[in-house]
Amino acid sequence: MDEFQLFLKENHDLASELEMGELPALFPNEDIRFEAKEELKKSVIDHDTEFQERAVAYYEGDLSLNEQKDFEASLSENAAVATAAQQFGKLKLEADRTIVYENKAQLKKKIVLFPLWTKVASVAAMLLLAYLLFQPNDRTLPQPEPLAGNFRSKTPRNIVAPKAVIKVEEPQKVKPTPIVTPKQNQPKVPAKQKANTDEPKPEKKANPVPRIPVPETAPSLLRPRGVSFGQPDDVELAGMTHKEPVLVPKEMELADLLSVQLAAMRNSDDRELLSMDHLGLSGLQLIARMSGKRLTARKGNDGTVHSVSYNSRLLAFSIPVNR
Amino acid sequence: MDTWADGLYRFVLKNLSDSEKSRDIIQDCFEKMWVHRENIDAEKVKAYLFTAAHHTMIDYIRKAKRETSLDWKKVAEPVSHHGYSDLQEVLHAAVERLPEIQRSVVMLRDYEGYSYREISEITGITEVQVKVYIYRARIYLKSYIGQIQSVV
Repeated sequence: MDEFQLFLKENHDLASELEMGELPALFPNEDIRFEAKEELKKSVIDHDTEFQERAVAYYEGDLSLNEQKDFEASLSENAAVATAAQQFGKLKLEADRTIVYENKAQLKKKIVLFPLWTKVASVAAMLLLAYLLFQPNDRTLPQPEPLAGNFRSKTPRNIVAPKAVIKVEEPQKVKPTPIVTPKQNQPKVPAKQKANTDEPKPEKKANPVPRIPVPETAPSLLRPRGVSFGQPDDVELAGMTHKEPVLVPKEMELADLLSVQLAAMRNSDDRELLSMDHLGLSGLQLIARMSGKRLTARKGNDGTVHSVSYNSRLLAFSIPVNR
Repeated sequence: MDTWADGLYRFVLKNLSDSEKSRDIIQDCFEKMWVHRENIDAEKVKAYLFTAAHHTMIDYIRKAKRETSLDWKKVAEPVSHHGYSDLQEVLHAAVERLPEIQRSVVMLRDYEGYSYREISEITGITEVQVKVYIYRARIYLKSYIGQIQSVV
């Protein structure tokens, strides 16, 4: 640089040419000013979409405190815009209080409480029912011991006092003392029976034996156990068998027949109340009773049950037994 | 039950414009609440009812749209817009023209005063969406009033 200035001092003509090469500079005129500067400023209310959003936000309460103040300030400057903004405040829907749901009662659920006593009562009812089902029936047989004594006094409805000769097959099962009654004048039944068997039975012809209806409640102590209807209705009274032709009802209610069977089982020596046979017959008897006396047992001439029939207004059928 | 049944009924009725179906939906809602009563917080019973009502209502509207070739909204809308006696009638007439989701959120907002978050929980859409729907609905209602202002 020093060498360049030294060179210019030595050559003055070149120094004047160098000064002519400098660029001219322009300076702004500070006196000129734009007077409508305020018109250039834009507010949110000048833009439709923005104004609407701001107005909605204002009435929805979504603006911050500062934003609310700014918006209110901008509205105060322009009455038309303020009116437009107020319309957004009227857009709130109001519920029509006259519309009510009338059937409120239908909406309420009724709670049904099952207190403990109902369970206790149900158990008690079941026990009572079981007792009623399994208790000794009034229509059942008299006990074997007073059987002979009751033969006349407490015979079933269609039993005539037996005057027939009775053969004793198993005297060891007959208890002599209770069987013999003074009314019958047969102090020693086995002896008389034995005498009758020895004789040629002329008395039978002279005095024909009346037809003795078979007691429906005759026990079947010696019969094999089992649920069966095919047993003949021979009279077996405490070991006494009557072989005469008997008057057997053709039809009888199944419930009554089962009562006989069950009574015989209960009165037997080796009774087992909870045996399968007993339970089966009890269940069948319950069904027969529930059927309302619609179940009947039809017997043949030999006294065996041939079929069980059900008769009602809508349904009737017959089931063969023991075939 | 006595507290919420009326509000719920108004909400559904204004959405469907079908009193019979509205009653059915109310009964369904209360039955659902009864079935799930063990799992419902006592403080959220109202929200549960409105949620159930909203979803049942939306299902019904969609099913109705599928089953009929007619425009469901046109069937439901009033025959004439003339003769409005006050602004609320105009507004409700305008609300019926809104899309169902906008109509639901606006009613939940105005009728029951729910917040965006609560409406979001009831309708199953996001808070932002709720806000957008409400804004759009308000602007539509405003424009509708502007159009009909001369008629009122």
